[in-house]
Amino acid sequence: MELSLNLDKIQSDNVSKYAKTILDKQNPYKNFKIENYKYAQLHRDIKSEILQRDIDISELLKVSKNISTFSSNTVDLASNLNQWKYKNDDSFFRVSSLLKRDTSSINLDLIDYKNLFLDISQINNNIHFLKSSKNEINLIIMNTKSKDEYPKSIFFDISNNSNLNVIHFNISNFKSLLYFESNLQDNSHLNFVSFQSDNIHTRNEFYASLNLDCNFDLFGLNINNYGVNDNYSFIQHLKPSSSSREIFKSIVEKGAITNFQGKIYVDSIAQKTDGYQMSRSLLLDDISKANNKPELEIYADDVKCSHGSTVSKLDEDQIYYFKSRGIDSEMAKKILKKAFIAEIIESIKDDNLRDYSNKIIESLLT
Amino acid sequence: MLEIKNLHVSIEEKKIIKGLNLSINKGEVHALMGPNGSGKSTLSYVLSGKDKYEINDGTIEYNEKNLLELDVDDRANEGLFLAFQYPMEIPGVQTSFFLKTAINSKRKYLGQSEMDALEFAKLMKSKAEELNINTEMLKRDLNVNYSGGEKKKQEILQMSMLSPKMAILDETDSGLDIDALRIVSEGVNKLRSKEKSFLVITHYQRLLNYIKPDFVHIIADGRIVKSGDYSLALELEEKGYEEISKSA
Amino acid sequence: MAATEQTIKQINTLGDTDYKYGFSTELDEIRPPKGLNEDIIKFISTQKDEPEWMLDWRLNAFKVFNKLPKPEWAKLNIPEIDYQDCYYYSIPKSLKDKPKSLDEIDPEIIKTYEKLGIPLKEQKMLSGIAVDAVFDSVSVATTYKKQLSDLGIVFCSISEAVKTHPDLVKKYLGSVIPVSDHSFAALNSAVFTDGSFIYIPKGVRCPVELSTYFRINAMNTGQFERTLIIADKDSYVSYLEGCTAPMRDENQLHAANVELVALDNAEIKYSTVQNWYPGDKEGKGGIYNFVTKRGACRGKNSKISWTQVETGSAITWKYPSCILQGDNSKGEFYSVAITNNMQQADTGTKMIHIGKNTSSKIISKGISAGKANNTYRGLVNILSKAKNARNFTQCDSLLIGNKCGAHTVPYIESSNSDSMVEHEATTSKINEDQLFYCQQRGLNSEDAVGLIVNGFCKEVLQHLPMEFAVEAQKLVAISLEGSVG
Repeated sequence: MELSLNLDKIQSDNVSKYAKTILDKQNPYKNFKIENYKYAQLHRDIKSEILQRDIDISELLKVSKNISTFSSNTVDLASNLNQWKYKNDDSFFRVSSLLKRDTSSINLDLIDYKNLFLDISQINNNIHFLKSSKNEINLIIMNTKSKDEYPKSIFFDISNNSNLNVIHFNISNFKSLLYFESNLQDNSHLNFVSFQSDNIHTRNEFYASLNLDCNFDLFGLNINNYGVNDNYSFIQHLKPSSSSREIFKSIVEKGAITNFQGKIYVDSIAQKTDGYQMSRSLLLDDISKANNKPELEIYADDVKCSHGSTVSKLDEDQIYYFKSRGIDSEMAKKILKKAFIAEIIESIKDDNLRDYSNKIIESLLT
Repeated sequence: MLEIKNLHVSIEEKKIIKGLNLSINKGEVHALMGPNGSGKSTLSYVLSGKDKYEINDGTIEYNEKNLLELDVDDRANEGLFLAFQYPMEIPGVQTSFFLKTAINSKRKYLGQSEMDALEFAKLMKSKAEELNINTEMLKRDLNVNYSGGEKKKQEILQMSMLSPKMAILDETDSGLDIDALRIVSEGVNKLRSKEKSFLVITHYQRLLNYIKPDFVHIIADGRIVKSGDYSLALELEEKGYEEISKSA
Repeated sequence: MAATEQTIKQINTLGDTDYKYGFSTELDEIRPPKGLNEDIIKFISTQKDEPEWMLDWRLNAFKVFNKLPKPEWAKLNIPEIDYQDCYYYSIPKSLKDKPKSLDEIDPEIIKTYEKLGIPLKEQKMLSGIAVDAVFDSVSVATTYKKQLSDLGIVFCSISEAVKTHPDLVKKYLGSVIPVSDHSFAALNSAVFTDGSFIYIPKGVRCPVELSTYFRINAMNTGQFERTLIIADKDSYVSYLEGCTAPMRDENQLHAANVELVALDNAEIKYSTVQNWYPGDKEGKGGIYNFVTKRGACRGKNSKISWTQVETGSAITWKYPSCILQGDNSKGEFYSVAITNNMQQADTGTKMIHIGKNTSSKIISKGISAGKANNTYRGLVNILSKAKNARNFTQCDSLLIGNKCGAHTVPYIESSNSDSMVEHEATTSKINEDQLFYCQQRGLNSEDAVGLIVNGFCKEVLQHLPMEFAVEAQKLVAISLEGSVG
């Protein structure tokens, strides 16, 4: 697979030149050694005969408003391409998605509803969300049955003193390549939970930029995927006193590959940063693979940053304890798997959405 | 109830139990005492069916069944209970949920229907109160951040709820202060009946002041070297393991 | 609170005169012209009186070197190296005809080693350490030779081993680090000058610490050390290397290859105290330390343990690794890396688990001060057949001031479900409360920092042979002198 993109869309020469450089230098389809795509295997066609499931979202639609038809403005391409402010190479996904698709902007302040639902597999555009109010909003992003060969971008601009909760269901996709970019202004807060299951080939990129006193929580859950499930995150702390917390949990089996690559970057003026990064994988057989690369890049001295990573199977001693109380090993394993992922589901604050998410995940857990 | 004959056990080619014989009848309380490394805990693990232990020789009959042929969970559902010296911490699993799952597993095994939520809650509450356990604690993850005493009480709560036929208490007294020891012992004493048997494994005589055994056995180097009644425990307290083992 | 004004001032006062080993020795040298080509390689080989197979091996490596690009994974700013503007061989004239005994060694060289605190005279050898010293390109002397040879232990320079033990050299040289591994490895294979060769026979526990001291003296000289250690079945050896260089404004290149082979039940303990000249506080001069160190645990139950204290060099690029092939084999990596001023370090390890029940442990402590950048980069790879493999990794970084950087880049790749991999990392600053507490008890700030940083590194330093642990502790304190207020 090779992306074919139309650079003629860009009017400005400078931007066109820049885009060309990124597409050339960072192209994971051409150069398999690009560090940020180290384990993604985008060049490989992953074929699978596995039947993907139908997810019942009717209950979710009852409690939320569908915003896919909401009116939106188109965002200027050239200025969007120009706006790279991350202390990392521009993402190939971001550039190629901007060149392939138009970007629609949605102002969440105009919506008077607490739970918003958006099915991005039904939308061909990139989406740019704006939020500046203090309203409590839960945005549910559904992506299912996608065969999209091209990356798609979702941008979040969260203004001063504002906050947003996002729940991302990335389920039963043949191919899904998503780029998320979150820009958090002073005192803002973003809670992002991403559920990934029953997919064949996925890659998600999570870029976040944090200013003064921000808080960004990112939780990821990968269960029962096939093929390659690849997550990449880059979180930059640019101003003092912000915190980020990142927890990724994966259960890998049946020949699947799960990858987590994440970097926390702390600028030299971003004192009092609190960064935490944890990736845990349960590797249940020897034909599957778990790759982790949690990275810290730190230039300020008064910070508290830590990361951890574990790969193991279920704890035999715990299974023995269950069995000694009469619980058979199949049941014990299921309970332990649920316990392993409980932390991610618990991170959803809204009771209805948490219960709903729990139901979906339980149905996907083998 | 339990009949162990000429048991030989090794772990990673190291012999731990070397020809142990022990017979426990219905309704009896036996105490097994011995110094560290004598094979006490190994015996409790072997009875419950933990793998990694190799049975080199001997037989164990339990309730007219060959115990060694049963899997760990089947033994538990047949009424064999082990109160662990070091109860497992299981993050993410609520204690009450664990208890409920265990009770229903046993009921399923016995061909009974699941216990309904209300009945379970009642049972748990009454048993917890008997053991002076705050029911709030049962909402926490199993044994996670429990103190040593809380963990041991939790084990006894599980025992009383699962109502086993044969209970093995592996150094349940270790790490308990005097109040907790009294509560735990009372819990055990309440369960004593003509139908239930106990094997109380301990290093010290202290616990036996509270749980009076019918028989006392002294184990050394993988064998029972001396058996007697309660007075043997007192003699041991006075003379120490070395002398008793020598005289045996 | 971040680094105080005072701290920054103190960092600035860290002069370029602080490098204690920065003297150079006036000696007449024999040097071929600058440049890297087949003629130079032939010259080196002739000077060393090497057999033809060795020359062929070198020339082949040179061909490979020309084809390989420079490795680029490290987070380092490496200036373009002009391989043609460098001398590849330097030998003090007095050593040309290799001295038969220590008495024949140029007294100037003996003095140099005395200044370094390295006793070469055997009568001074009370500490139970056999020393081989490498001065620029040649091995100067090997002490304790007789005692070791009685046990069947071979401890000599690699040049000597090429002649005296060609079978062992042929069998193992390049077997752990293939010539084509990367360009620095190929370069070393083409032009390596000297280094140590150790063979411990079956069942022998080497009774003394074996040690080599490397010193770069001549200007514009690259040093290409090559060390090969073979521990045969059921043997044990502990080896220590130390490194210093004089202060020079030009950068000097040190590209070493070290190969270790441990057969069944053998254990090799390899310790390094690296204190090459780091350059001045503006970043002028200093050694480029591009080192490839790799050990193969070939036999079952074998063990290789790396301990390193890296305080010197302008640029350190170094990943002592273990290939855990034998069942039940063990790999360990203990590292302290300190960077100050303009120093850059990208160092870590690779643990490749191939055999069953293999285990590895990684403890890394990085300290960064001034404008330095310090990166831990490590790979833990569990192959699918490595049943029951275990790894534990702990990486801690300490930052002193906000002009430096501390980075952690672990790669964790697991394909075996019976295995367990654990990685933990933290980054923090020096604890102000601890500093205050020490100062309140009367320690001055420098001693307090030395004390706290040594505490931070203790887990690693305690793995050094005792004789060197004390020296290393002092070095840790000296490297950070004045960096905290």
